[in-house]
Amino acid sequence: MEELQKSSRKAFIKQTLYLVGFGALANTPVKVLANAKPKVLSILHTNDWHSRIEPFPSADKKLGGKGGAAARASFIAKCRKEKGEILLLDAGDIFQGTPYFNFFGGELEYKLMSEMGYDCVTLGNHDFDAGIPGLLKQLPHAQFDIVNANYDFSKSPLKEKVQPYKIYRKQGLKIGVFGLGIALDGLVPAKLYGEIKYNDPIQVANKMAETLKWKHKCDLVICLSHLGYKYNSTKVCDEILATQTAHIDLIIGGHTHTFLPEPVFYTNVINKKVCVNQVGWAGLQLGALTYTFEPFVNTVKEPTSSVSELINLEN
Amino acid sequence: MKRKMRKLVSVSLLFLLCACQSNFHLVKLSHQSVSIMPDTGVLLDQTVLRIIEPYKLKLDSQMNQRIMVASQDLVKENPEGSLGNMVCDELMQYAFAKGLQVDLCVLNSGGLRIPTIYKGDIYISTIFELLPFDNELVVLDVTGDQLEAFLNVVAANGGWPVSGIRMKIGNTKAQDIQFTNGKPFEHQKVYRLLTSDYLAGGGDMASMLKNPLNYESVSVMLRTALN
Repeated sequence: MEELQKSSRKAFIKQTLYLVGFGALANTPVKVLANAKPKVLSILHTNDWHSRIEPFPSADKKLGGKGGAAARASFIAKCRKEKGEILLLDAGDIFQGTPYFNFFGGELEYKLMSEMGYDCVTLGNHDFDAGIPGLLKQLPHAQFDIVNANYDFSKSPLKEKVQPYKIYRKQGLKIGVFGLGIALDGLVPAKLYGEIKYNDPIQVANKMAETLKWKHKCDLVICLSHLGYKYNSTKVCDEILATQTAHIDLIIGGHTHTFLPEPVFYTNVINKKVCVNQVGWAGLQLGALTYTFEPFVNTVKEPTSSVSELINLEN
Repeated sequence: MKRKMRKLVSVSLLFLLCACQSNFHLVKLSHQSVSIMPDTGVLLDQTVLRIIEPYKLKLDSQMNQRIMVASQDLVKENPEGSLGNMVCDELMQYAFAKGLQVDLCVLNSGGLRIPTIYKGDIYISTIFELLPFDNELVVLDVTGDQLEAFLNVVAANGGWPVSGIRMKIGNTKAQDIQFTNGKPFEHQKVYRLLTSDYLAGGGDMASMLKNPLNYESVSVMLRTALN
């Protein structure tokens, strides 16, 4: 990211470095292999594009000239050039907000995201604004995966078009990505979302994260969430999701259009750190997280005693 | 030698068996938020501009028409703001011009999608961005009780754009409801509420509007009525 920072002379880029601080490490003795190189993965993310294809109109005193798909694409391409394989994600509400959606139904948004090389997105409530047929019509333009695990699509034409999760292999790492969507009843007119059934995101998230971490042995488990960062109520949100689940490493959020100045860390039910980030809306910001991993040999994994016993026998 | 080999195999096999988690552990996480600004020194992506161009040409021909001039900044605010007032007042005027009898107009705050319309020219594109949803105008006949329950939703949300009515919010409930034409609010009366088909369908938790005494489609989108 140094190059990116150099190119933008002003203080528009905030950079923070989180050294270790990931609970898992503090109590797990590890022996790093001497000759193995660390693996570095850059994750770029957006949320709530809301059909912002062009920069904000110049008449807008606060946002005029900011944003725009062409500038966004340029940053992404630059990062890809510097870092090689990256993971590019979006947390939903790609559609709705400018006449581009009213006139072209999301076709251009999906085409541009495909051109930018998005890997995976989840569905926001406004992605249903043209109804299920409207969404289906745009899917051929989406050269990326769409994930959601807590909407039951079994009776919806979206069945098999949206997957609960996807696994990506980037920079020699295995990354599991699953999606969570907000309750649609009372938010989206029923005629628009049709036969989709909403399931409890916490239960689903625990199941998904466990599957990705243990069955698929992912190095990193990411949740693309359109639940919203936080509410003045007990309504399920990213904060609740982070603290009431296990095995999620990173939650990339959306819906509440929250500009988090930096990622927020929570402690989950198994006392491990979960990173939550959200970058506002309209493509005004691009979140960039760089994870560094080192290979390890875990010397005290169960069953500890049989390891030592066997070695003794062999001697 | 053979024994040594066997030992190695056994040990690595055990590691494999034990490797129920990933083979890597996280040691560092760094973060940036890159603001997408015109002066961040990054050139615009030419391929993206080329993809946008034909769509933009089609839109610009229709969207860049000036339809209104704002004599002041119009701001979206709770419980009341000049932007919400303007929209609801305009919709009331539209209804009256169509010969519709209506007592009040209420929209949800979340339906207005830009925070400010600045003093100066207002283009069709501005109205699309303000009211992007394809919601249509409807007139609902509701009982005084239904209306009060709905106004409690308005109050619980900190106040929504209204026209034709005045009220106070206390303990997240609607209080001192009065019509701007001077008539008092009465529980047993039937009122004609101008609103969006989104709220009429129970959107934003306005479920009490799902069973009105009468539902009348105006068959015009909110933004079209505003033009």
